[in-house]
Amino acid sequence: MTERAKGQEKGPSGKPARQGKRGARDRLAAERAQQAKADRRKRQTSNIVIAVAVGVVAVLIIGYAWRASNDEGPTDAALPALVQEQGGGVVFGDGTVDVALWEDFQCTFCKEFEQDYGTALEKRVDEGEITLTIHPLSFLDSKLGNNSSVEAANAFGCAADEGSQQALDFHLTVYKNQPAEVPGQPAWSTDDLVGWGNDVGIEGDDWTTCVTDQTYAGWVEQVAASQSGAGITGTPTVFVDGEKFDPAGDLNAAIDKALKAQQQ
Amino acid sequence: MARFRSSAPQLWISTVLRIGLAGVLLWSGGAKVAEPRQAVMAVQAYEILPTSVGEFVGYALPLFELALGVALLLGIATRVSAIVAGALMTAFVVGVASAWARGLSIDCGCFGGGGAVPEGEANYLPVLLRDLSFAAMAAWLVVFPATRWAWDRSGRAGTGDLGLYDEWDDDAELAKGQHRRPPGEDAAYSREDERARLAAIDDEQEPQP
Repeated sequence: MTERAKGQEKGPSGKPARQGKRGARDRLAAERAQQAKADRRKRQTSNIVIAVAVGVVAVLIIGYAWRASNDEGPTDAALPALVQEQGGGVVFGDGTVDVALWEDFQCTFCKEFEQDYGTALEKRVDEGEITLTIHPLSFLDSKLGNNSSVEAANAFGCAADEGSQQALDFHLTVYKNQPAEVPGQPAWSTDDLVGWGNDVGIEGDDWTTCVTDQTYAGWVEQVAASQSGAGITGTPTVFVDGEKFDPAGDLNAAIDKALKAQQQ
Repeated sequence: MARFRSSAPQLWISTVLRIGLAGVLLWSGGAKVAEPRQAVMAVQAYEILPTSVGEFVGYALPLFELALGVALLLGIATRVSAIVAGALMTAFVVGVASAWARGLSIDCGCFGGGGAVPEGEANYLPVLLRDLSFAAMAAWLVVFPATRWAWDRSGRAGTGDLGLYDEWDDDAELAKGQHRRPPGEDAAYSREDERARLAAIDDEQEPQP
């Protein structure tokens, strides 16, 4: 109370700050009540504004995520010759064991994988052991800030129009020429892709036009959208007869095992 | 509800933590939103949610982190935002710990990237410790949500709390030198005077008529 008395002594008007305890208390109580009411009103308004903003943002986010996760790409895209269904991979051979390969042409692990297994898989396709389905993904484009995976996947589709052997050769050639990742820079030009086709015997205006015009862009988008439904959490991902292959293991052994299982 | 206590050092600590946590969320959300399909792969790699739910979460999470980051950066509904951020960080801790316990070999995908990595390249302990410290930052803000430079405090006493506590502690107002002066008092009326006046009002019994 001494502090308050000190404050009152310093009052400029000279008159005592309190004329009777009762009156002052009532005045203070009324002042406080009024202030509390104003505060409450402000708080309520602010909370309503915030609640509405939160609701709008939530609806926007949920709407976007819902649409994105149900987006399967264009419904009726032009398909390369070796693709059997909308959004499907490129199918090689007609063997008894199904090998599904999910790759991104810019993925460095895929390059290693192709170095290890590329020719072996090609040989098994030729010998009629396996049906190889290659799904060319393009998620690395957003990471690397380019369009190279989409362009290569499209060119792979174009190569599939030329024939099974040409498409497999082109596929390996792209991996062979895959440069080190440089974010912000394209991994290859359209001319590079056209040229690599020429290297494996794919020539002519149809090829060049298909690569440069991205004839199969819609299909590439479908394949990209199909990856999350398949639960692809990295590339390369390989399924042997529907079973996810453990990348630490030996793929040739896994395929041999599947072949043996079918012969019994 | 009880009054919320605050003091000047606490205000500064909370301010730093609020802006720090906002930065973490904006950075992680921004990195993920730039590569949405990678974000989906990162979520699915934990193999906790069903595939389609994981896909939905993968698309929604980056935007959610960004929105939460903006709320914390501006100091909007700081306590509620901190509760949500703390819950999110705890969920991350649980997810990473579970992936580790199950022997998965994945990148946490915390700040972009994510998905399966070659055997032996997964590094869970630093991620766990980092996410735990983010959760601790959020916990502090839940207990001490009063901060400087916040929408919550910009002359809208008590706003943004969504009713989780009644009013700001008078000490905080007083510390900022924004205490009210009763009519008839001049500038020399100090914060101690105002504190004493409020205490007196709290203490005094209404006399019998």
